[in-house]
Amino acid sequence: MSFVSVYFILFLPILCIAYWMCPERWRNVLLLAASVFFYMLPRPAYGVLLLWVWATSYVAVRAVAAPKASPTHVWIGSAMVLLPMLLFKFTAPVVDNFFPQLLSHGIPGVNVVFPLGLSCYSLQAVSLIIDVYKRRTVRDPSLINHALFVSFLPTVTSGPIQHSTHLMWQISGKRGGFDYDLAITGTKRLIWGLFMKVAVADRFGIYVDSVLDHSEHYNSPTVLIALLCYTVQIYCDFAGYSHMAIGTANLLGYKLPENFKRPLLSMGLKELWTRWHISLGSWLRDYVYIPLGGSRCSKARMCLNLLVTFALSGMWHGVRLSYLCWGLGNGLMVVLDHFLPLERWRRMLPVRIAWSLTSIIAQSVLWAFFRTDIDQSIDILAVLLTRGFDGGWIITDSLHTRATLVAMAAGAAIVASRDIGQQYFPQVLNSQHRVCKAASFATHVILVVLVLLFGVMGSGQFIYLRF
Amino acid sequence: MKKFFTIIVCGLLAIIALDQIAGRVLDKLYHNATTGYQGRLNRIVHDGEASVVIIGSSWAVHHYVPQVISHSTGLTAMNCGFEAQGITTNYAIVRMLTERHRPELIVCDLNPHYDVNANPGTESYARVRTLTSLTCRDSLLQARDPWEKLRMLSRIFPYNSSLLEFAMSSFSTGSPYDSPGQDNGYIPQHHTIKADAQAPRIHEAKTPSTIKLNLLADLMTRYKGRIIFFTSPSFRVRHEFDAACKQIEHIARQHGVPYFDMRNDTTVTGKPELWDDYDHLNDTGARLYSAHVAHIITRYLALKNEREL
Repeated sequence: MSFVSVYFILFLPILCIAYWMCPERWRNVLLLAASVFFYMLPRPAYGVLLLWVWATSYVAVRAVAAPKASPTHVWIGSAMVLLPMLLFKFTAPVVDNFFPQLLSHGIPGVNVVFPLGLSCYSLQAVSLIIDVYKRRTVRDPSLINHALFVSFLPTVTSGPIQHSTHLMWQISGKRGGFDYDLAITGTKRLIWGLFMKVAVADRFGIYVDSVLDHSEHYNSPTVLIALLCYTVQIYCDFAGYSHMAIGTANLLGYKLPENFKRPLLSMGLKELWTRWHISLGSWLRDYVYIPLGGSRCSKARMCLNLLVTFALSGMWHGVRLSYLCWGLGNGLMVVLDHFLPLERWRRMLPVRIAWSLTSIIAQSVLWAFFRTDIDQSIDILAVLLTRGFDGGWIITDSLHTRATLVAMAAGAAIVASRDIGQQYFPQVLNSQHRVCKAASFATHVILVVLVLLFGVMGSGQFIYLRF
Repeated sequence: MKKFFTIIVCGLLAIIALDQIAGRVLDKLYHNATTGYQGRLNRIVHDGEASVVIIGSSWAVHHYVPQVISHSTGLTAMNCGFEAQGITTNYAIVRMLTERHRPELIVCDLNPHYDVNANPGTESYARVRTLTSLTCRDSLLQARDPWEKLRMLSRIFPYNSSLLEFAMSSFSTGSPYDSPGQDNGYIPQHHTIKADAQAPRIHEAKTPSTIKLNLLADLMTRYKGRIIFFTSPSFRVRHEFDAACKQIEHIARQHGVPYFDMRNDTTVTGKPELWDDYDHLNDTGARLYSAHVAHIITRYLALKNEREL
């Protein structure tokens, strides 16, 4: 079940009413049942993997919680939890090459070969094992609470990957009654996420697919614009998903940390990666980069640590050469940022704007590797670097194309205005003044109407459900 | 919690009110449109009265010259093609048109990419949703997605994804659909391609869509004896359509309906001076191709008349 499906729109209110009507001691059981149902509905066989991760992580948590626990317990426990993920990651390219008919049957956009959400909840379970070992979280969660942490409904299909230090305390502790303000925030985030996904990301997807799937027919500027548009598409797609996940959690009384903090307003990729997919970034920072030595070592070692972390980040998406190139490319850009006087540039507006734009363009080019396999990525880069103005422009006489471009521009302007508002005028957007509240209410009503008018319905799943 | 539900109910009421008001305005605007795509659609379904009706995607729009067909057959002809639209839209157009008028012959140009193969990018239902008086609209939409019925409860949802296009075409005077160069729905193109032009790659699936095949079979059953199918040529033969064309041939044979696979039509294939782009003829090419098609239609009509006599 996806957040943008009609099933979910009908399922969520029923769940919320049942959840808040339910006595508090049964709420976690109800939420666990709902999470399992939500996760297994598209493909019940996925349940076996969820069961494996529950069981292995539960045993590992018990083992590492013992006074005589050693790092070996952590390693063995984590390896057992990650086993299905690694097996699927490594076998997916083989199946992709030799048994392509097994791919993408059933739910549009969902890869049968790689089970939904496995990468996310496996990492979440590993974080719990490590945190219990390091005594940073609840040491003896009940089986229900443990299972709920691993398969928490809002995050089970595609994250944001939760740290046990944050979510486990909420699951295990008493949260009290219904929180009106949190529920209102959750509803707004659900609407905003839906708008970002169906009215902006999927609208950009139409243009991006039409150019990048046939890049050989277009000139370099058109391909570059399509790559920039892909950056907006993937941002709106995944940030939209994250808003919906956090909004759903809010409606159930949980507070989850932000997964995106207006990353496209960053100066350079170093800053961008602290604001984009924060949950994965912080997981890699806490459990890979820092254990490797982080930045408290020589410059050369720090660069190596960064490159290893980014390479792993790429490979987390799939064992594919293009993901490795994407990860290493981003790693190199972040290493470059470490050697530039960014703090001085930040005070010089023209330089700041120039470097921000350069970074966005570089990142957009790297997205070519993320979007498709290595051969097609190289084709796209070849067009970008060699074609010049020789080739087709996407802006044709076709009214359909022009209307799509206008819709994209309008959607991007709405997202940009909100991001800029949140970045520079948060006090206005979050004001509790009656007029601001009324304006916010009206804005969200209009957003729903815009979804009905401009949303691309049934266009497919969130891009990140593939991982 | 009560306060929260009150806010949610107020929000829902505001959305419903906006939906109803905006929906009524859009209903009026769409149904009175005379320019752009919507104007063309309105003209076809409300005023189209020709004896030979041509339907299909951009191949139909740019390859079939009604004047040439009329000249050869002695019958009035109208090009009712729609760019980038698959069989669903064409099916809806024919059904709507024939609810009011009985054409002597329906010429359907089938593009395997749009009309047979399962490619999500070619399955646009936007125009079907706006055809409020089409009797089979709900069943067509539900075949695609069972939740369409729920979405269509919204008064503005039928105009989803087409509003901007509609607005832009209404205010634009340069729309090719309003150009004086057009001939009863045919839109001429005037470029010439290079002799070494390469075929655009088709990345999408080449497996047939059951929904599309069912619509094709239904068209054949419903209009048997009054419908004839063609597949237009490309600059060079597109062999990636072989399987789909064979499938069409098989269904056509089963239903006793004529199907002409013109992909290898030597009057136009391989002649760059006749092509606007790799898949579309320019005006000169379209006139040559239309003459060939008209010849086939004339023979078919003569044969049909003989049989009826």
